[in-house]
Formats: sequence, C-alpha cells, structure tokens
Amino acid sequence: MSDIVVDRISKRYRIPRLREPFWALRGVSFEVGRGEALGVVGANGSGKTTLIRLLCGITTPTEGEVRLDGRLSGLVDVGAGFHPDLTGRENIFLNGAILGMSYREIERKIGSIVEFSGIGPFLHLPVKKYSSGMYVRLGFAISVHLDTDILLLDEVLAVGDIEFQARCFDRIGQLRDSGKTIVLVSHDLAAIERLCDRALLLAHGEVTRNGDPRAIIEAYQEESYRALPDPGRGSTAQRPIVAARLTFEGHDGGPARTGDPLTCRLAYEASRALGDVVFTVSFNWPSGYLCTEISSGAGANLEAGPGEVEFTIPLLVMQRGFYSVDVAISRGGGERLDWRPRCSLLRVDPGRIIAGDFYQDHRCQIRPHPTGAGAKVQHSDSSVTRCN
Amino acid sequence: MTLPLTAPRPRTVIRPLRSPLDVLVEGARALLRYRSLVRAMTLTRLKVRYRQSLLGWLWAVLQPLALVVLYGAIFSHLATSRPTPYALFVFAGVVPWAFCATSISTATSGMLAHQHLIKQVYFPREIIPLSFVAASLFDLLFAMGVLLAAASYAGSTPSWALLGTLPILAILVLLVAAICLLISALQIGIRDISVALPLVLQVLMFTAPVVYPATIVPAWLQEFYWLNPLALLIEAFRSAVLDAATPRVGDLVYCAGLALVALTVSYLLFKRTETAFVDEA
Repeated sequence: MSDIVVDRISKRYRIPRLREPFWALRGVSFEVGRGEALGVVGANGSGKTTLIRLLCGITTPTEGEVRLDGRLSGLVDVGAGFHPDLTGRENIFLNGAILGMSYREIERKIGSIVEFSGIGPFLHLPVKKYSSGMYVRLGFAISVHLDTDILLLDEVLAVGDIEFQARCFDRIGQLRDSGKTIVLVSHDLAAIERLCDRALLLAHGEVTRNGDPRAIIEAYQEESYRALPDPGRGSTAQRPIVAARLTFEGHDGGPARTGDPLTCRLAYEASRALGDVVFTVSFNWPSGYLCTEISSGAGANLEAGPGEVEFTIPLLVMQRGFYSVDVAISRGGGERLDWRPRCSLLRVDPGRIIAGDFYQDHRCQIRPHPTGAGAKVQHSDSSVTRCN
Repeated sequence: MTLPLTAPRPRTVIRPLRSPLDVLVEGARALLRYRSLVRAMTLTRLKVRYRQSLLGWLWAVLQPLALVVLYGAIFSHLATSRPTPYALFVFAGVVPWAFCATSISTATSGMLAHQHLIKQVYFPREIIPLSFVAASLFDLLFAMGVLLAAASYAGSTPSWALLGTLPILAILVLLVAAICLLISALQIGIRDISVALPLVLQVLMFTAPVVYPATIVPAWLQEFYWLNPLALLIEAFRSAVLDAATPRVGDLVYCAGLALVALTVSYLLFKRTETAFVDEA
C-alpha cells in the first residue's frame, strides 16, 4: 500500500525574457509505501524544491498527478508562519492552524510543544525578540506535534544546536517507528542514510536513481565530484618533479574495501635529482574536509627519471563511499613541488559491515568466569570470538 | 502521537486544472477543514492591529470620526433634508464605507505580505484576504455601537428597523469579500493594482452616498447610480439606522444576487491564480 503515488508529474515554469519554457520536473514517478522513509537527494536546481511544493499542494503539476493517502504535513521552513508581534504562545496557535491543526488539538498539545521547544520562560514574549535558534525550535516543535500520516522534511535538521538536532533525530525516528510515512529532502547525506529506507536521486528534473540510500548517496557523491571544476594545475614544464599516475589496488587486485588491505601506487617523473622529497596522498570526505592522509614520511633522495612510490595500507578503516584524493609532492621543509588537488576519486566498497564513520579494528573475547568479579555470565561458549 | 487507528485518512489528489464545480466543492470543504485557521488569522489581525497602538480599539471609531469631521467641514452646506445633523448623516455612511475600504486595502497588501508563507505551506489561500475582511467586520461592529449611541443621543429612537441592518451587512460582507478576492487574484499579474488602489478606493467612495446625500446626484445619472450595489447598501444602512426605514426587499435581492455571482466568479479566478502566487510571484 502506497501513501504517496507520484504519477508522471512534470512542472513547467515560464520565465520572463526566456522564450523556452523551463521544466523543473519532467516525467517524475515514484511511490512511497506506508511507514516507509524516503530520502531525496540531488544537486541544487535538480527539482527538489519543486517536488516538495507539489507534494504539499503549494503548487500544481503541469502534467500528471500526485495521489496522497493520508494527511500530509510539510515541514519546509519552520516558523514561516510566525507573526513577529505575537507572543510565542499565540504563534503556536497561529502556526498550528496554518499547518492544519484544530484549535482543540493545539490546546491539548501546547504543553508538550512548549516542553519540546524549550522556550518555556519566553512563551509570553513576542517572537520578534527570539533568537533565530528559538524561532526554529518553536517551529519544529509545533510541526512534530502534528497528527500527520505523511511527514515531509526539508533541510530541517541543519538547524538548531547539537542537543536540539539530537532531539529532532529521536523524534523523527519515533515518528518513523510509529508507522508514519516520511519524505526527507536534504543535503545532509548522513541524515538520509540514517533515517531513510530508500532514496531517490534527482538530476535535472528527472529521477535518475531509486533504491538503497547508501547506493544513491554514492551515486550522488560521484556525480557531484564529476561536476566539480578541474582545479587547474598550470604548466608542469618547469616543475622539477610531477606526479604522473595514481592507482589503487585492493585485496588480490580487487576494489578497495573497508577492512581489507589497500595498496596505493604513485608514479612520478623527476626531471633532475632531488633531495628531501615527501609524497603525501590525502583523502577527503564528501564535505571537503580532510578524512585521512598517508605520507612517505622522512624526505627521500631521488634521482632524475621516472619512479614509483608504493603505500601499503594493511587494513583500510575508511567507511564505504567516495573520497576525493589530493596528491602533494613537497620538500621536507614544506616547499611544494607538485600539488594535485582532487586529482582522483577513491571508491571504497562495503567490506566489513560497520556503522559510523570508520572501521575500528578490534577483537573481542567473552569469558564465562571473569577473574575477580563474581558476575554470572550466561554464555557457556568460552571460545574467543572475533566480531565482524 | 496519539492518532487513533480509526481516524479517517483523507485522500488527496494534486493535479492540474479542475472543473469550476470541483473547485467550489473542494474549496468549501477545505475552508471547513481549516476553520481554525480562519479564526486564528482573524484574531492575529485584531491583536496585531491594536497591540502596539496607544489608543487601541478606539481607532476603530477614530478613523470614521476623522472622515466625519473632514467631510462635515467641507460639505456642511449641503442640505440633507433630514432632521438629523449632517455629521451624523456622514457618520452613518462612513461606518459601512470604512469597512469596505479597510477590508480591501488590508486584504490586498496582506496577500503580498504573506508571500513567503504561501510558498512554504499549503492552506486555502483565500483565508488570508478573508481574515482581513473578518477583522474589519469587528471594527465595523464596534463603530456601529458608537454610531447607534450617537444616533440616540441626537434624538432618534432605536427601532426594530435596526434589524434590517443585518441582511444589509451580510450582503455587504459577501460583496466586499468578492472584491478582495478579485483584487488579490489580479494583483499577481498586475502589480500596478496595489499602487492604484488608494485612488480607486477614493473614486469608489464617491460612487456611493457616503459623504453626500444621493439627492444631489443629477436626475439623468440616478438610474445608473442605483445600479451600484454599494450605493444601495450604504443608503439602506443609513436609512435603517437614522430613519428607522426597513430596507426594500427588491434592493436586497438584487444586491445579494449580484454579490453571490461576484463572489463565485472572483473565487474561481482566485483559485485559478492560486498556484501563480507561488510560481510567478
């Protein structure tokens, strides 16, 4: 049974001074089953906002139709309906009504809403005096109290402090577990992976992928990397040494896998003999932050001509996904000889099943009679277990 | 979440253009479902309007009174052939007129002020202009209380004819709602409307006997003059309040019919442009 059926919808916008109409969505179809959590990812301009607006009924499709079974609440820009001159309490009633709650329903839930938002002492202050964080928290608190069947979340998790975000995650998890259907549109890929059962990838107004969130996120990351502009590296003619080729080789020549060994080979071309040379390969998260780095360590003395640096990683701890790779060849003192940002993409395949950001190599033993303490342990098996 | 399992799950279909009948039926149903919002938005208007002003609710009376003083000074030489003083005569016309003018101007600007919200959440958009009409209606009732007090002070005794103002006001509300929806819908495509509106309202005021007696309208114009439902309603309102005259049924039926047709047409037009508020605004 599907709560949301999106049936070949297209949306055309007329843009002034542009003769061609612009299709924000074209022939998009998908379904979301009852109790399912669907993530939608895509670059800016891929049609996510239009899709949300169509699902909410804010705008109608040019072609096709959306069928909803159940009450849908969109949680798009929480607090959009606040009136600055009204107090927090009055705004709860106004915003609740805008979101489709009845007066009685709000009266019944106001205590819980206030508690969730944590704005208690400021409830009787006009919201124009609130900080932006308080604004958002109050808005979110109202939204999650909707008796809704289908919940639409758009980038809401990007707001609030850490503690509030954690609370939102818990609440969304609760809603999901209680059988609500959820659509989450976000650039927060970790949230998509954590909360969704399935994901869609939108590109240029079309659904290009539909499936397992992890696979969709990887496809999206790869697409994003490919779309990145080449940082440009200028002429290599004057450089005394250039990085020529970077290759990765997993276990037995296979792909890179979490928990497996990985060999990384960097071929270089030195035009003259050089002393104190350091080779560094950096791996970056999709966010652009440095994930980890491998280095040749102490400066090496090289002769003129081609050569190769081989890095051996006995056990790859990086989580599955895509990492952009930078290569730097420098002097021990820090002088850069060659610098190749984002010159390659490392795809790490799922190896050991892990949750979190990286694989923690470990061993585990369960002993039936621990020394010292008299704790009773039910296990009779005394063998040493290696946890996977 | 304490949703009982038996709660009916509404089915919604979002698709392009529907037939006018569907629009009306669905619209009425949605409005019923969102009645809490009508209430909340109307209360918001009232609270916000008077919250930060020193005189608060007195403004509901001060605004028409200012007009009374102004026009009283200008037109006091006009013979009204009435026993009541001219100021009271103007007051009785300005009270319903102020309702029209305030509704129309606040509803129109309110639509623009809520654009961000309109892009974020779905709710029946007509609630925005209608909440402004409802809020003005409160002002009207308040001002009417003062008007009745002034009338009895001036010597007219309250009579059953006052009940005649109920259908008059009901029809006036429908008519004003129709105008508000029409202008709200049109201003998406034509932004000049909001600029021209004060002028249009000024002109509109003089098409009805608000500040002058209808007797000064030239004879050749009289026939057309009374085609205007606003003129009929304001005149009937004044007669009911000051002269204890029951409104003519024929006039009421004419105005009510016109108001209903106007409301239907402008509602359909409004609903047609509803998505344009998001897509093009």
